[in-house]
Amino acid sequence: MKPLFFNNVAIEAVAYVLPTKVVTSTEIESQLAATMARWA
Amino acid sequence: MKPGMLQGLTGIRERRFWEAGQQASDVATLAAEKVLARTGIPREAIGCLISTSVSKDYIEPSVASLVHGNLGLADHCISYDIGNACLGFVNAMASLGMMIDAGFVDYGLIVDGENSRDVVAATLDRLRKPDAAAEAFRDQFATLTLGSGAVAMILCRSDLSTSGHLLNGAVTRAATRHCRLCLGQRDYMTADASKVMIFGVDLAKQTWDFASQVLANWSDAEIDAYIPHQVSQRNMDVLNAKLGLTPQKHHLNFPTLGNIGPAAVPITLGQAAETGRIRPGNHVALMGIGSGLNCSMMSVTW
Repeated sequence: MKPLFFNNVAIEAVAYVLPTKVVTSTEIESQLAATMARWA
Repeated sequence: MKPGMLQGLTGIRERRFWEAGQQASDVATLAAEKVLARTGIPREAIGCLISTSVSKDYIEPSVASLVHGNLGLADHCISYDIGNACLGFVNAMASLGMMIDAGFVDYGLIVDGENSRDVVAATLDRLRKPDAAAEAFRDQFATLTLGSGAVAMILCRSDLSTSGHLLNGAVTRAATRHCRLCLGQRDYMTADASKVMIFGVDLAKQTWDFASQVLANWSDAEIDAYIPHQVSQRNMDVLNAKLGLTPQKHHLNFPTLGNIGPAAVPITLGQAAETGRIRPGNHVALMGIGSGLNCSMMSVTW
């Protein structure tokens, strides 16, 4: 594909929303503790 | 398998999950309402709505149709999904940009709502089973890096814009000989993360070199800020070394958001603007890549 060149296009605005529930990597690993111990 | 490996290998400390039952269209609608309120652009002015969500409420209808209905957009506003893994949002920006330049649309809206909660939970259930093999952990490891978020962007004719953030140009390259390295379904994803990184960075280099030939002011010295798709520190280090990028020019949020798929580039752009990391007049490089493999880079004057 050839390059695209824009003549009359602007990003007017961007907005985002993030979930409030935070899950740490430590918490995820804790759910796998028994499995990881078996593989150690 | 040692404790701390997930954060140690990826640099991801945490990620976020929506509450149970929240769907891609629900959270994409929240982001769309926010951007419409921020700009004051009337809904009847929106001529096109594209959703790039990898997460989906249903196989059909499109997520875009659901968001269109939630927002009460006008009957003349076309809506559809663009699906291209983590690259979808940048593809949608290019597609909508062409529609605006062609005169079909004055204002268009792109949305993305990612919900990783269910696939991560299903993966943990599988890996907790007594017969789960270490190979399964390796193949599904990348799933545990996924996060969630929602974003919406309005593109418009620059002569109608109040922001002055100009889309200059874009290039794209494909390496679909690697199309089966990462395979995702609603409750299961498997990835050869090492090969995705190696071949993905190779593709990014091809795309970067092409951009250097055809896009104005496309060099590390002339670009003020990079807004990359981002999945781990290791990937960023390899990318920077291969392309010769100044690491400090990246705006990074993967340590707290994880891999949020196609929402990563626009959310990162929004955060970079909010924090003053990018300022009016800066040359900003959007760098998207997605499993498949496909890569696009886009030049923006902020």
